[in-house]
Amino acid sequence: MSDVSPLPAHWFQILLALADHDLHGLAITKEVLERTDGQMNLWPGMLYGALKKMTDAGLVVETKAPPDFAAAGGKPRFYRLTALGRRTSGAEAQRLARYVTAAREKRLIRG
Amino acid sequence: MMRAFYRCLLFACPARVRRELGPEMEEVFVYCVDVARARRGWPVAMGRGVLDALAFAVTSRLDDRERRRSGSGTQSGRRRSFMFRKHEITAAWRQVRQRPVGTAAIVLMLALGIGSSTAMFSVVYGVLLRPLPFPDADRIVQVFGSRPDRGWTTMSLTEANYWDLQDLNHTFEHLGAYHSGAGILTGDTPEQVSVAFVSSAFFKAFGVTPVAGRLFDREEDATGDKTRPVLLSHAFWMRKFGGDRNVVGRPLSFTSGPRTIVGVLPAGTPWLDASEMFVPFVRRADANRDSFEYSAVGRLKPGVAMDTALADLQAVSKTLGERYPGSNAGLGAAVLPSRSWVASDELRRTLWILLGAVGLLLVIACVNVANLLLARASARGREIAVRSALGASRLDLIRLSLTESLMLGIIACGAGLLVASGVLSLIRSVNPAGIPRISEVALNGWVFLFASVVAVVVGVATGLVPALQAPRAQLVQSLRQGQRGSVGDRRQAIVRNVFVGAEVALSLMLLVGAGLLVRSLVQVLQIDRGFQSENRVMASVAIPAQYGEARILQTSRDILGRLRAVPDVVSAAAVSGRPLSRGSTGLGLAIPERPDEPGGAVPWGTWRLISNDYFKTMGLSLLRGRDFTDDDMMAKPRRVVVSQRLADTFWPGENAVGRTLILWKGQGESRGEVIGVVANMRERGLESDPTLAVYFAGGELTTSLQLVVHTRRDADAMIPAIRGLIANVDKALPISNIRTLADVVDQSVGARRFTMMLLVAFAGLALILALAGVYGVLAYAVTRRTAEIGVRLALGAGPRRVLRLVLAQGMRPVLIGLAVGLAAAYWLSQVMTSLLFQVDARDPWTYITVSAALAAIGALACYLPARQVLRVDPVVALRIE
Repeated sequence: MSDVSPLPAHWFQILLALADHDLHGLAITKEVLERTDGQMNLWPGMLYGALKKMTDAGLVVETKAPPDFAAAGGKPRFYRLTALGRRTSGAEAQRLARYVTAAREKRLIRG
Repeated sequence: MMRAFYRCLLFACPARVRRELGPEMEEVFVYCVDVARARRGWPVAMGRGVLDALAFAVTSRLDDRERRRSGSGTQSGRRRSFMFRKHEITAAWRQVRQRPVGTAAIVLMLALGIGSSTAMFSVVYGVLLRPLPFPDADRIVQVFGSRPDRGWTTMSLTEANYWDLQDLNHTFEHLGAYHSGAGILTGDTPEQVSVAFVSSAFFKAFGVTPVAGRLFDREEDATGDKTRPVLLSHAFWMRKFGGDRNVVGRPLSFTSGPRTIVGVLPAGTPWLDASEMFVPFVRRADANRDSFEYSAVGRLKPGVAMDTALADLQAVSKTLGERYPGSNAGLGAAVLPSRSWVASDELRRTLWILLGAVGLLLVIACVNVANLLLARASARGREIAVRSALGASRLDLIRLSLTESLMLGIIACGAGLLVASGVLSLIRSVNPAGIPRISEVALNGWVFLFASVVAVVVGVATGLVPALQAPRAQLVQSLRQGQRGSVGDRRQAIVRNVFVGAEVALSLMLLVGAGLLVRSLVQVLQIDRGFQSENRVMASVAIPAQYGEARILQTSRDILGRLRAVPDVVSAAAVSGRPLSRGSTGLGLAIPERPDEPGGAVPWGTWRLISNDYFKTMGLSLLRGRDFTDDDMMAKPRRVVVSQRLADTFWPGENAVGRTLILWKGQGESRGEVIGVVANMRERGLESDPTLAVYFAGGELTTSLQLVVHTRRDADAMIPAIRGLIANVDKALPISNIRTLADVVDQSVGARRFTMMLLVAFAGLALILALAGVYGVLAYAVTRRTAEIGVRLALGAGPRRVLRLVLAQGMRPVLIGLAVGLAAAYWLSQVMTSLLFQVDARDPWTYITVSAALAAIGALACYLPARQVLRVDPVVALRIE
């Protein structure tokens, strides 16, 4: 499964959100929405469908909520990036970066 | 609320997924909806959310199945989900298919109940409840004048009074005037069009915006004569220009001169559709103070109540009375809310009664279905016993019958939708005259939903009875062959008999109502209308006013002369206003002999200009004196012919001929000499009393000539010939509205006929449903009692006696229902009174005929199943035992 390329956009965004810390579903949705400037709204079905498939593919694993985490109505599931997930999202980032470099060379963007 | 909704949505997912992820997904959902709503609004947000949940449900279900198939099924996979299981659906479908007749009967009954009540309520909504197409319609009112001293409560305004009211009132944002008129469009085929004169405030009062172009400016109240703009009604624009927005700015050529199209109006029943075109009503310095011709519509200032506005107008009228005592003394005002345009009180009442009737029909349908399902259920007692013996829990049984009832319900709803749209398109195609907005009625989804829910709930509730009575305790007894005489059975028999009685009672009520309406229509059609409608053709011919008096007279004389010369024509005449058409010309009447009592009511009559031979052509008999001759047209003082009723009012028991009549009492009076008396005529409508009619000579002088032709042959066949003849006299004359008088009469009773037909249809359906109920119950009872009957026969009872026994049993609920129904109908009949015409709401003949017919048909419905008794062979019957 590591050669899913290109990664679906929302998979990539979820992996990106999980890259530096474990998160629960709602936090993932919030972070993705923020980073994409409101462009990508991860609806619950889409989010949990993707998380399920990504778990099956070994990109993420479910973990226990951190001990200091408190939420109303029980503790939600947290998700953590696996080594495979980290490699896969890294590869995807590389792939996208190549396009960005190309765009820069063609002076579509500056900087 | 939103969470609950989402939780329901998640029921589409497998139970395991729902349990594990449900609460979390709910949180995410609430967050996402919040975000999406802020950006794109509620509907989009919810729609997106629902799609997402459904897509998730589908994938997770597929996933689950995959998991089970690969053998990694967990314990939780075997747990019951609340969703229906496949084998239940199959079993239910089998039940439905195994009894095609019973199923069809249930579906048909439910569909008729659902469909007709949906259709009827859609009509009520479309005609009565749907708001008028104007913003803040509750602030729009119609303004009238009144003369309480003469007994005139709502009159049109005079030209001058309208402008004065507009200037002096303090409570209206806009107060506009409307005066109907006609014009002739020139062209290859000249066309007569209705043209209304309106002040600029008229459209502002409605608050409409034009579809294209602009409305009239305030300046055009003064300059409209010079700038000559014209606004098109929506219907005329669509018909003539096919909805082309580029018509704005184009000229339109009338016989009175060209006008420029400045805009197109939106559709707006009733006022904006009342004329085909609108032109400015220009304010004149010497505005007329005597002739009541202008309708006024106003928009109240925000927050002003109708009473306040009325008081304001009354005050203004009083001022006017002091300022112009000659014409305005005693002037008052009246105000009517805009909702009164939608439907008269009578129509309102009619529609509510029809809705009540269709509600009864829905109840009958539901009772019937419950009855059928009960019969079905007890027939399935054994099956249920077997199922429970094999280990089905009560819950399983309930789920099974729920599935089955729901399945029936869904099929019935589909069929009901078909029935409803069929009935509606039928109603639209009949398009009865006299019911506003009926051509626009559309299926109302909410009503359909309501009717469906009622019907399905009833179906489900009755479907549950057998499962709830699941015979755990008496399993063995139920598994035995016949279950005659069990307590539950007897209780059920009572319930079913009560149902039948109720159905008979309800349908009797409907039948009585229908019967009364049928009798009313017969009375209306048979009433002495005064004129004859057989072999009469009416046609409107517009003669341009620019022709001048002499040429107009010559033209109409030519037309009448040519018509009279046709061998198939008995006689022909012209009149200024058609009978049975809306809006007639009226006048106040008095006689010099009787002193003018202040405060005494002034009788209101109608007037018509007629040509020679008018009475002869209409079949109206001349009772006294003589008809007009050519000399009478210019004679001074005016010579008049009056109706019998008028003569009886002023000169009871005396000869009216030669007497003097004061015409236009209080409106610039003039005198007329009575030269003849003719029979009464119901010219305002068959159901209205004959008018106090005054006829003047000079029907040939009107620019809008209404021709009446009495033909020897079938009137319909003469129409093309008449058309050709008029065109031969002058090709520039537009002919319109050419129809037989029989048609006109027919149309005038259109609303009554429509009501009657609907109620008869509902009552007929109710009757059929009730009879099906009677039949079903007895047929079932006879089958159940076959063994008993066998015993009776074997012991020597004659077949006739047994037949009588069974018949008596079947007729008992029918007769009880009849008695109850008669009492209820007698009590309810009062609501019908205003719908009836010369028939008492407690007309004994109707009651007797209807109940006798119902009893006879009921007996037949009993006899058919009871006849089986005669075929019972005691040996066979006993063997069943």
